[in-house]
Amino acid sequence: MVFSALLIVPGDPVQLIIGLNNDPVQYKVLSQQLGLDKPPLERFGRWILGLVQGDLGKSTSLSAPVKDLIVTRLPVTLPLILASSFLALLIALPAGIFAARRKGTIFDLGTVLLTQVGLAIPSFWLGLIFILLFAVTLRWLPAVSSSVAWSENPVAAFRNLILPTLTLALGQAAGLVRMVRSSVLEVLGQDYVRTARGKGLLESVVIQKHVLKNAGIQILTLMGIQLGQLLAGAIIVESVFNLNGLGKLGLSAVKNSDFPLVQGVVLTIALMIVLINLIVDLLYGALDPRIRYD
Amino acid sequence: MTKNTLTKSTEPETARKPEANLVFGLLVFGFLILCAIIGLLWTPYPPNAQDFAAQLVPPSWAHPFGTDNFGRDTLSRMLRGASTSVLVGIISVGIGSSFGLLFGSLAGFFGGLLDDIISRILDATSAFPTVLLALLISTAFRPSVWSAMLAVGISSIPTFARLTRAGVLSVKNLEYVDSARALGVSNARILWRHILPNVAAPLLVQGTFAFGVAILAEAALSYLGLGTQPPQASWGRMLFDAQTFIYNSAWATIFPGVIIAITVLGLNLLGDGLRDRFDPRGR
Repeated sequence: MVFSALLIVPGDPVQLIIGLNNDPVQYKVLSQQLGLDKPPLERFGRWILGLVQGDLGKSTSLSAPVKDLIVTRLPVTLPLILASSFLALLIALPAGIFAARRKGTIFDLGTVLLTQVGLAIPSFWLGLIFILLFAVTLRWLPAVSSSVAWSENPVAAFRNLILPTLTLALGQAAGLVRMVRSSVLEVLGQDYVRTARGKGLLESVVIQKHVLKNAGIQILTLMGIQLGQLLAGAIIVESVFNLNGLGKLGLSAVKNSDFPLVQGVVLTIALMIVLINLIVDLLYGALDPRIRYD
Repeated sequence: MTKNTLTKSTEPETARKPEANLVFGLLVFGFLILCAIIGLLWTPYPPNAQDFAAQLVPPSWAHPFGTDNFGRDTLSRMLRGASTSVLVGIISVGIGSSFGLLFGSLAGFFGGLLDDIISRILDATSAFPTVLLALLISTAFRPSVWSAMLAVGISSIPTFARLTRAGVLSVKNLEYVDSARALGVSNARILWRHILPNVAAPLLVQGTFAFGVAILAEAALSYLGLGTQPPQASWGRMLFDAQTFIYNSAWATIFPGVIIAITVLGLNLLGDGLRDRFDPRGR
């Protein structure tokens, strides 16, 4: 069932774009140039044919192959997303467990309230506040990232990523803390946790071996969903911090009505989401031996 | 207590809990609606009027929230921005809930292949981020507040549809539905009169959350230039404009962001409160 859903996802943007390309105004202007005067099915066929050969077509605004453009932007977006989700987990796990173990106390209420606030704050505004605080007032970090490659100047490239990562991570952490808290709470009420405590295990062992392992599935599921959202969130955060990543590429493509480039970026992100879902599905099996795929 | 057991079960609950969520949420929501109406009818200054004698003025009596780089009054633009946000919320939730209700009830009521097809399409749609959808829609049509609403609305269809489907599935085989069918009531009428009222509470709760999500999404899209277009006032767009002048005028970056955060927080708490009250199973 999950796999059939995954199969549909990459087809979705393709169909969407193919449908949208028939917009009459754009059609006249670009049809000759892009070969859009051919019937949609033939275009779709050609695009798919190019796709399986690793050819995403040519960008109309940047006059370079779409594939190359995307490949050069990935080293900006991927570290941003991976670092953010790692940081979010680093914040959310201790905070969620802490709140769950002290349910009903002032710490718990405080955490829950903070996550509510965190969920309500728009990520781009949080980014602006960070710029205001760390770049404008304290002057510790650059407000607008200079475009440096990792190979040229790793320190500057790292400094560029600090604020965007923090911005993305805090938003994700808010949702994750709530999930960790509720799933840990659910597991804490189980009989086997009482048994584990009853046989005199250290509380840290109970939490690590029994609680976290059982709460893991739910946490993993949410992280998978969040990674997809992070890819979308990266579009926003990249433009706040002027990072030359995949998101900015897509955005500039929209502004220039660069269809092949928009197609390429959307397809890349959709494929990454499918890949993440697949990895999450496979990790289920590793976390819980009862889940098996035949 | 003995008397209460005969009346609505929510009454002893209300007596015990002050329901801070609900109260705060309703206050924020009421305030938002009020601002939106005021923003349409009257603002201290015309929201798009430029005054080059008063550019980037800090907060003062004349301009409580200051002015932007064109000398436009921030308070006036925020009030008009509230109207934009409420419009976006209403339209997107309208799109999401009506199509969600349609697809969800079709899938749940008729089941079988139709259910499979609808459910797979919904799965695919929900895996597709709103921003990407907005990217595609604004490439095809020009970016506007309408393309943003369409993207946000479409993205919210799956949640509404799943809730509806689950609700329909949970009651469609109950005896009172069977008896309605035995009396010869048509499918459409059974759905409308006997099944869908059971879904109203979770949908109301979801609608509240979706309203907040829509406001947040519109702000983000307008910030990216994919939503409300200048010179129309929108909270997200105001933040975009303010970023250029972040070194000179920090207040311009603060006020619109705070109002977005409070509004969304209020709507989320309202949703929580409504759920505790009308839909305890959803917890």
